Amino acid sequence: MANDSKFTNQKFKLVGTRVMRPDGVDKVTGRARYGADASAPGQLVGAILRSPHAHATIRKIDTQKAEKLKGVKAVITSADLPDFTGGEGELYNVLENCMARGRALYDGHAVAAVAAVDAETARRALKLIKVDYKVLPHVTDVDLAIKPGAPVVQPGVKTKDKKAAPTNVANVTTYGHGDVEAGFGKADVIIEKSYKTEQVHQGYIEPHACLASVGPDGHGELWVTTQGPFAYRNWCATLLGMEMSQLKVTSSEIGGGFGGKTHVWIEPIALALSRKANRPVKLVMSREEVFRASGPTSPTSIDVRLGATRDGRIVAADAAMRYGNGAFPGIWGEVGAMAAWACYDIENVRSVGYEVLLNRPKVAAYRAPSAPMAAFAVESTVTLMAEALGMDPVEFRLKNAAREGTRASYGPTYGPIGIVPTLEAVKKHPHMRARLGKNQGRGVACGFWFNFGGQTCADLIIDVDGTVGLSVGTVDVGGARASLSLIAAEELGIPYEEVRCNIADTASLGHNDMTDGSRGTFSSGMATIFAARDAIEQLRVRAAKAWGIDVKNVSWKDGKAIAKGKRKSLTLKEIAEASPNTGGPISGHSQVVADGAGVSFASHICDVEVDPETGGTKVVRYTVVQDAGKAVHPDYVEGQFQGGAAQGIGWALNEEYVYGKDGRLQNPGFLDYRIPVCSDLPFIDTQILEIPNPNHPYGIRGVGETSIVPPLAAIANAVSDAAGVRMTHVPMSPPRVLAAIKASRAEKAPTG
Amino acid sequence: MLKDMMTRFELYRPTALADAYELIDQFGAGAWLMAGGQDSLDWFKDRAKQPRAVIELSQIEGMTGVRETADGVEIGALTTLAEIEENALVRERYGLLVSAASHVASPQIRNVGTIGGNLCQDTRCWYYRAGLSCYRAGGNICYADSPEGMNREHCLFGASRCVAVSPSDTAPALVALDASMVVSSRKGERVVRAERFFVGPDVDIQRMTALQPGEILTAIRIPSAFSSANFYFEKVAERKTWDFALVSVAAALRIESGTIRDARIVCGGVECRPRRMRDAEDAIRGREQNAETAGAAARRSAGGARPLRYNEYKIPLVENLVTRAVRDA
Ligand SMILES: Cc1cc2nc3c(=O)[nH]c(=O)nc-3n(C[C@H](O)[C@H](O)[C@H](O)COP(=O)(O)OP(=O)(O)OC[C@H]3O[C@@H](n4cnc5c(N)ncnc54)[C@H](O)[C@@H]3O)c2cc1C
Repeated sequence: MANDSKFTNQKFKLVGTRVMRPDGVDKVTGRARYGADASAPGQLVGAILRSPHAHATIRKIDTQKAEKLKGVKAVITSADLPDFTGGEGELYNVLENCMARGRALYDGHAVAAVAAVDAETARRALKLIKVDYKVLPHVTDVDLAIKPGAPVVQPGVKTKDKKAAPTNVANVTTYGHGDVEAGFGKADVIIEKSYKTEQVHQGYIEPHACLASVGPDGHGELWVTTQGPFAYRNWCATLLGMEMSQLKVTSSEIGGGFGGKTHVWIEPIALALSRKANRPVKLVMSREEVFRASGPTSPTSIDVRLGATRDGRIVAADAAMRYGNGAFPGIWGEVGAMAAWACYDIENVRSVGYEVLLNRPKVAAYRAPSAPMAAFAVESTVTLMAEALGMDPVEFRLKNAAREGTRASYGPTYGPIGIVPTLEAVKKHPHMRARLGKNQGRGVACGFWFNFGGQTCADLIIDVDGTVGLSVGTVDVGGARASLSLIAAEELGIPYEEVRCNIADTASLGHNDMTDGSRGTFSSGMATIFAARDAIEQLRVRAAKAWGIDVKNVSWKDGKAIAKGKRKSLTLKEIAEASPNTGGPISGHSQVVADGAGVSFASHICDVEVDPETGGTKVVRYTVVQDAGKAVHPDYVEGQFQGGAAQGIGWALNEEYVYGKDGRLQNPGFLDYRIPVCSDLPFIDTQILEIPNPNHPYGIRGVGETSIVPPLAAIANAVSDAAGVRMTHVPMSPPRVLAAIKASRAEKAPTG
Repeated sequence: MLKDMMTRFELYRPTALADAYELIDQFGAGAWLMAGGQDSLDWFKDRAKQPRAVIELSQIEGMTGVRETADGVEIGALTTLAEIEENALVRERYGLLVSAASHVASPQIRNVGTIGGNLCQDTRCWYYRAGLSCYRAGGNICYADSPEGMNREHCLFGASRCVAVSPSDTAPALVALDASMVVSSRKGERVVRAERFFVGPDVDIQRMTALQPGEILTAIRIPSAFSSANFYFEKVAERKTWDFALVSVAAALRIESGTIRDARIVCGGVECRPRRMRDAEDAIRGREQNAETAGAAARRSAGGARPLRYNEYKIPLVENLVTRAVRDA
């Protein structure tokens, strides 16, 4: 029973209510401590010297003058970070990304670092470091990078299955089934289109920050803003040649991560500086450094081919998806290829993902990583197809949507899923019937995300006064402490207010995978249920002992142990108060690999108004419909839906990394990198559907990511509708919209 | 580069103009005038400018507020943009300035930023702001106009080695209203027409205004010529707030029984100073205010434009904004 993850289909008392979050007051009063809010006695300030070149060989680094500057306590280069990784593979890439080893691979790549008594001295020391660069040709554009003769970013990387010379294509992966070419042979209409999306950053408000301390005995502590203290511990310990148990990592409150804080950047450097200086070191990135040298998402270039019969059935689908990975190989094209066709039931389907290396920062996950660009290309084409067939775009999608039993293009066969219900809800939504004004257009798009589970561990302690402490190892990024407390209270049958959820450090709890893949509430929710069930077992044992009966005859209901057949009961509080004399402390524990995270689908509706004279786009109405499995805390589910849509709106309309031809990032700040602000967003309407996940006791699915998948496409479909011209390049900023309108007018004008 | 940490400077807060002149003399090139600090602090934090002494003007008496004069109004240079937005007199007569001021940055910045500072602020060219040693910074190259440069935010007109644009939203409005700038120094006071106050790189590549070292902008005078005229202001930016104009237009039209008697049309974001659209103005004086006239103005608004590699889109923007200004003012 304890570790049975089957859906219970129970009636909830607390789950599904909108309680106050436990971290709310601290966050609005400023008492919450984020990455940069910790200090230690004797602390030094760290600073990093970064490459001004997109691609260069580092011939020599002279740190002598910097070392001699008064107040400087340590200067490090890659020589202070010996390779413990074996010289290849992902970990080596992490090491090289943290600090350049003989070559700078992008503008902003760390080259050296200092720790000094104050920021002013650290900055002066950086200026005294002399780096001798030999500048090499570089490439920052996905399409240019795969052309023959393009500068090669990683000479050691060769495309699999190819004996040819090094290229910038680090890997090629293919997904799908059926016979695609035969499928196109059966199609009455074939649409082919190419798309491009620019690189964007997650834009979390809190820059990377940490306080590192390594003592002379080799033991260390790291206070850091992260989505995964255990993963950070493992990486940092390995890169520094420490035992994992020698390093304790504590996660601070987190000011947003969206995937960007699932990778280490400055943390190993801070630890290395601390080790060398023998003092605690605080290292905080500036916003400029965050843009230049953390992990934005991929720029992409995607070709899509779609074939359908006249009666509206998709018979073949094909996509070639080139994802910029930055300077190190990743899996971003592969993930995009897996997600591309997941919404549909297609007999002959293929997607090929290419990992393209560029002289740009190492790409990191960004909320449903890779899926929004895939959806932009696929969902734009799907709408084009509906138009070509003269069908309603929602009907066309419904006709081809995946259902329970459909074999997904990326392999598995679906269980109960939400794509059809979200589309049905869209069809019925009043938004779809609202009249559009002049220059306005409407777009619809669907989105999919896998959702993850993974290794999870939780402790639940019953204090002697009957209140409960819950320790989990997944960082709370979006309100999980409230949701997990609700779950613990529900399971135990006590009030929500009597549970306090704590995020444990790496020395206090077993391993937990990161808060990513929308797994926090799904996995830690499952572990919490199991830990509570474990505690209940013990509570029953204590009650049985008190009554002198067999534990088999004690049941647990509404926070009480009840003796079978007798009218006797003991509350949790009563059992807790007696615990010192009945066997000591009571606590529940659980450790699981939380399998069976249910896939998630969403459908979005978007209305925009395009000013044909300025190219400006205003989002006038936006509706998100998404399957949540079970919305444990509906406010935070809605918040996730709205947040994803808001980020998608920025991505679709304004945000973009602008690189000069010199390979330097021109807009590393929030003024020139234009994240939408309040006045750029409409109220984002949400509708939660609940199609229970059969693999979770409460039916929970992840909800955090899918909401960013449809917006690029929904907005592109709406802008194209409003402007009368198909937009295939994101962001659709005023210059681009204006140029597209102009080009289409020139095309339509009679020649001669 | 380490940000958010200014180098040391002495802060002075004189209470009289005479004391301010004294300080300017004392520190020479090491002195920096500061009003609301919204432009200044950015420079300091980026360490692209490192003055020895910052002379804060906010304590000087008589530099704030709006006064009615015999011919219009006079606005103290230290008046905040928020105060201007709310001032009854300005609202009643010079709605164009109110509209322009309300499009600046964000409410927080307008609560602190002054009109004088807004007019004297430096350009936002991202190469120049990054502290690179370009022409404007005393160097010998323009990065934005190099074959490698990204210049979608840069100028269409008046380039002279430097291709930066004037970022101020209020400047085009004040040129359209034919305002004058009151400039004071130890030597006394001079009054400069707004149109001549803003200068391009051909006149001075390191300065955006006619202010000389030692001079302080004390007030802005707006004459009654265009008081309560027909106004039009529009700013195209990628965000609705907290963003600079790609192109803006400020227009003041005197219209009598449907006929345009006089017009001043000014665009921002296209030149290193607010650009007056004289050809367009000439084309519409004496004509009826309608779509056709607007079209005539538009056709004469982008003549002579020399787009850079990435900013050609600004040409239709100028034309379309001028059309709207003439048609809808
Ligand atoms: C994030 C952000 C967004 C912005 N967006 C916009 C925008 O959309 N539109 C827009 O127009 N502006 C915008 N600005 C600029 C902002 O409006 C101006 O920086 C502000 O109005 C300047 O006023 P201040 O009083 O704070 O100037 P300060 O920083 O105090 O001064 C600016 C400059 O003017 C000089 N100066 C100031 N007063 C005088 C005086 N009386 N005599 C002589 N010299 C003087 C100073 O020496 C300094 O060089 C933005 C600024 C920021 C930081």
